[in-house]
Amino acid sequence: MGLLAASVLLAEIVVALLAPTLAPHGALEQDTARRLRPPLTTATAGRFVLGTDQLGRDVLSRILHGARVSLLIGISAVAIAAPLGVALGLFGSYHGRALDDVVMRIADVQLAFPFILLAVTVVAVLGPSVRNLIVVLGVAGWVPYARLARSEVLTLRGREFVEAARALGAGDARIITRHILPNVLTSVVVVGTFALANTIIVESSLSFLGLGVQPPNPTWGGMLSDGREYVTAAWWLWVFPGAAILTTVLAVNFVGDWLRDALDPRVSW
Amino acid sequence: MMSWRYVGRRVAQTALILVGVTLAVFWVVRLSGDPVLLMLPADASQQDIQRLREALGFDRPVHVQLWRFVEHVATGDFGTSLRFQEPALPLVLERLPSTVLLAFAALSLSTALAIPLGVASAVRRDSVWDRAAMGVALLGQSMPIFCTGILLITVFSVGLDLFPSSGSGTLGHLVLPAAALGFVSIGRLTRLVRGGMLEVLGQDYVRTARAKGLAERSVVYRHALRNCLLPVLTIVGLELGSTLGGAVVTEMVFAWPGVGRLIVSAIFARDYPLVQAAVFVVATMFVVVNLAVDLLYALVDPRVHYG
Repeated sequence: MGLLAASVLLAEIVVALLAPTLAPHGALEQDTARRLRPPLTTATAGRFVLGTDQLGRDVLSRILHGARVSLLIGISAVAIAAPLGVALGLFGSYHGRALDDVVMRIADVQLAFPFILLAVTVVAVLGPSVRNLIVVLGVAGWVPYARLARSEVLTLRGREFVEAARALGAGDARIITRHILPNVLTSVVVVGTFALANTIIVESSLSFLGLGVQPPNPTWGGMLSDGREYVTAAWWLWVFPGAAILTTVLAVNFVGDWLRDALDPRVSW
Repeated sequence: MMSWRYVGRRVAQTALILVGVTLAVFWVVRLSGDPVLLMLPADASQQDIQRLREALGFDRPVHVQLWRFVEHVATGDFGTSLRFQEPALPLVLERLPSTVLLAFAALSLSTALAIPLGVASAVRRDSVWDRAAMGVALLGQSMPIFCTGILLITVFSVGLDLFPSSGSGTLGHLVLPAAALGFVSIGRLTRLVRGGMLEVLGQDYVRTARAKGLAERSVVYRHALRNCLLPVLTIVGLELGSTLGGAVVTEMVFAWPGVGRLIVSAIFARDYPLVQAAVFVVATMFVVVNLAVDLLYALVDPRVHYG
């Protein structure tokens, strides 16, 4: 199952990267003469495989371009959050109690705000854009990784091999990179995968609310928001983007489960 | 067992967190530079900007602003909503019960479903039931709330005309939003109950109960289940955070008149005094409930000594 999911995900990434060439039409091409055409009818078969939306744009093309947005933001955010979190966790817990407390208190304050609420507010203040979404979702995601790193440090700090290494003259940096970091990395990969799933959900939620990537740029969340008005009249407007989100997040979650079983069953997300 | 020292420590920690929350709420409006520019439309004139700046006290030095903010917060004064021209805090508190009701309904629904699902999964481990339950759990965690919401509206509201799709007022109005919001938590909770039950079912006292000849149902429910409820209490406390966050989206999908919807519409109206008040209230409520759950857990769990 994990392998299947991983291949689905890989295929999606490839598709997302190649979206501009793969998409049969431009994502922004409007033509009100052909608005709201259902898929698989004589009007659309072959040309607009998944139908057209309320402005005559091709649903399939918009979904492909939307994949770029979601995957770009999701992967970039995790790529920022993981190193940031690990660094803060290592740094805080390695150098004594006071710094550790400070880092953990900051985490407590940040966690007092439900994540979506935090994201909504900060993105609104900074202004919705791809860059700001990546920054906010990235920076706000540091806590789970910091906790992992911290727990590893606290577990290993008293162990004999650390004392032995120190006795042999190893500096702090060396101890951290050679001994502590490798153990943390496998857990980070697992947590990062689940975090990616969550980030994709949060990004699509923000887009749904109108605080994500702005129209007319296609995002899955935005397409669902548009499709709300046409819930049964033009079901293809929201079913396909919704299915896209679901498939992607499921695939990421399956890959996460698979990685967890393979790498580190202790992790609980 | 719980010691007063533990209570004192947790309360002090909570107080510290609340101070941090106050600072964060003060600071968030200043993240992009001038907060006054944030609150006015792009075409505002220089006079309007200056007038608002003075009215809200943003022309004072930052440390003065901070002190005034803290003073005001301590007395419950979050300024005036720019859009409604009324005090911000009462506007938030007015809508808070709706959100609490929604969150409570959602969590009750998910717990009520998760317990039997988790128990059935654990008892019939690796069977079709187990896999189906785990599948549903994973589905819940993989679908964004607005997606679940729109699906529910399509099927139950527009399609079958069983429940209204927006607004509030009757119990019927609560069903779909609570279901959408709760669907996410069902996954995590079911997995937790299942895990806890599996662990407990393998233990000695369960074998003893079976050896005594007790009916299987009695063994499962009276002896094993009671011991998994404790972690469920904690997780409900943990799920509260994501439920509150999810309420923001749910309220927008179903036009539920709660704090979440207030925050989003206030944001689009650039009504940041109201946004500040609402965010502060939600965070404070969450932190205080967490404290209560922690203390309750320490009180109820006979196994661990909290020093």
